[in-house]
Amino acid sequence: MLDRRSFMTAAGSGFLSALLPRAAEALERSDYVFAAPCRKPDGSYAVAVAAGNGDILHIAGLPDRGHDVTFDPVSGKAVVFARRPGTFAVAFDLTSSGVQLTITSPPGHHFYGHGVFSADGRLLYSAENAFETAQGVIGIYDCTDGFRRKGALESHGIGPHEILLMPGSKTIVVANGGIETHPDFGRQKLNIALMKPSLAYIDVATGDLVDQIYLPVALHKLSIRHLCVDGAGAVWFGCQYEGATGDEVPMLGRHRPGREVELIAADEGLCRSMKHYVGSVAANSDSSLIAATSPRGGVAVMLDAETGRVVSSRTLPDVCGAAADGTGFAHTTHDGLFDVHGRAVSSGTIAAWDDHLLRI
Amino acid sequence: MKTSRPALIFALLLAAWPLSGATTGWGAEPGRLEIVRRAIEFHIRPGFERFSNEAELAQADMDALCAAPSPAALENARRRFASLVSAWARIEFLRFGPLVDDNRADRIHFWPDRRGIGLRQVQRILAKQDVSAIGVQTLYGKSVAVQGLTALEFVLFGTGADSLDADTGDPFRCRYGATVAANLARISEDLETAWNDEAGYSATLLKPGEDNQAYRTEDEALGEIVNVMVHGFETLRDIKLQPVLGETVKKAAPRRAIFRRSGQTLAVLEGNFQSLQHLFEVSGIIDAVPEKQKWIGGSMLLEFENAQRTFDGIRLPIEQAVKDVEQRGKLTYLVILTRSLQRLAAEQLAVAMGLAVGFSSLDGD
Repeated sequence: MLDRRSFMTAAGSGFLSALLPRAAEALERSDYVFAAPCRKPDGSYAVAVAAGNGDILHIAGLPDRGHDVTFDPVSGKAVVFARRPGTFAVAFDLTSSGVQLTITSPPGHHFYGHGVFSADGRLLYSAENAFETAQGVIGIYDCTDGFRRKGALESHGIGPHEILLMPGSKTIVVANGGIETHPDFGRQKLNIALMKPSLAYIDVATGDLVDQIYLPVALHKLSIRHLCVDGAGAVWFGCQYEGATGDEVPMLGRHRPGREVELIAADEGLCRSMKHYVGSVAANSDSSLIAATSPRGGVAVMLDAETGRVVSSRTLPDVCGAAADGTGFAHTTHDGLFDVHGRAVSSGTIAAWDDHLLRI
Repeated sequence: MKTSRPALIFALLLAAWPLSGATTGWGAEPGRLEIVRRAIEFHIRPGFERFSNEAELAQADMDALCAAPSPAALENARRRFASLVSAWARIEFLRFGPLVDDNRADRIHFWPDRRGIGLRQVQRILAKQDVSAIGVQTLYGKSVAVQGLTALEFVLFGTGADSLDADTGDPFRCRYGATVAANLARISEDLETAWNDEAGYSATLLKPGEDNQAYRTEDEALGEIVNVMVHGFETLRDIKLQPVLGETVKKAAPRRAIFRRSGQTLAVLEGNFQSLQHLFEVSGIIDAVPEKQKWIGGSMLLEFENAQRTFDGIRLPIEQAVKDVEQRGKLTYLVILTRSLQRLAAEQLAVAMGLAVGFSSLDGD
């Protein structure tokens, strides 16, 4: 994550000079910069860069609905991925006022909506579905060569969703959601009774499976989908449950590599208020707090990263995006609100924020 | 239900509704729970009862076939399979509560089986004459893919099925089929019992509240019923029609058609449409819509009629229909109708009742 100063350095004068005066002013006043895919009032899709107060600095069209954005501070490039089962991703070069380059998934693959850069910014990894065999794949793209596809690693599970780089940058952690889909069948889930979600740690150099965590068999319908890594290197994951409506199941968990997986007990009423659906998770700047959102339950929750206890639970209809904003979090909602510490602002240029919010 | 399909989120738009029905002038309209009650009493319970009866008869017919194989007994068992499948088509979208508990829906019908997992498992049981598949208890413990309609269809209609009509045939195959039928009879009886239990899932739906694990509000309970329609149309389109039709005649994939081996594809699709119409009508859901928006009911009925007329005009079996220009047009029209009906249910009906549909949480990430 960058502060405004580093962002402006990374973005360069091209980006800044392209800003309208009002946007430049907003950026000047802002501590943080965010990016997220969105829908515009005319129904078209785009990706927006926003100042910390929600003011839109830059907006660029997308061919279809996006899902998440990833950013490389080294090159100042950002990539937004299509929502599954989309087959495009768009790279933005913030250093040259938003030049775009479209990346397409190879034939027989589609993106899952999430990806991450290597630490040196030379490679882009993306979660993909090799859908004829329902094999989870981590695609590798060469950022120094027009995002040419270089190869792929196995994700070691069906339906990889969010992927992140672990501290040390040698390992990628993958949330293998376990749900099989095939583009010929829309977004229908094809294997609920047979689901086997996992958290996989993959050596990016060799593709070797370093570790793989499965939940207890009774929770095999608990799809592990969203991730954040806190300052201590613990992986926090948010889940979506495909079992019966009334079931009490943990919606969040933490895995400290080398230790047993910990599930956040359901007795906090989390399961119910989140309606079996966590949309995103994030850690704040000093990793003392973890945010988790549920658009279905319309709640934004904060947990103490030390104890896993719920610190606060706030009603915010259709909330999904969450990103660190200093000690707290900024949130975005599917009905177009940008919420900073409980103060929600809407913008005339954004009708709906898509699922994920990235602090650049 | 949020099991094998995406779920809608409903937000309460009219916070006070329906507590003050009498004073708002909407007092003549039934409460939300009355709609839910009618859905249970007039649609859900009769549907599960019929399926249970058919499964019991299927078990008897399979037993008779195994005891005295003959062309007539095989024909009888095959005809019974068709009525069993038709009864299933009337309830398969009711994927909440009893039908999703213990993976019952998947046990009854493991489908779509895009990668042929279930089929391979069934063929392995037959090839190896796996005795653990003979006996309801042990069969229930096996893969969900080998204990329901997919398996029974292959036994009765798949490669080698014709040998079932004589003593010299394949007794193991017949006994496996009879076990599957017995398993279906047991599961369907459990379903019928669960729905008929006044203190069971019916009460869960009819008594929403803070201490209700599944439904906190009347809106959520009613939303479950509306979801059946919304997801029913979506499933019809995304899994049953479009993958078979393909984008062009060349890309048509009739082998993906549901219950194609038994020739029941179109009957099942028609039964699906009819079941959703039945639910719509007998629940009287349109009664809960304010006067000004009652047109939604007429529009939905018109589309249901269009669907029925279209089915009446499909005369070729599915394998040929997808490749025949005129018949393919009818199937394509059914796709359009699913879209229209889904939109009417999700964007008009639900909204008119104060149940708003979210932008994205509609079908997940």
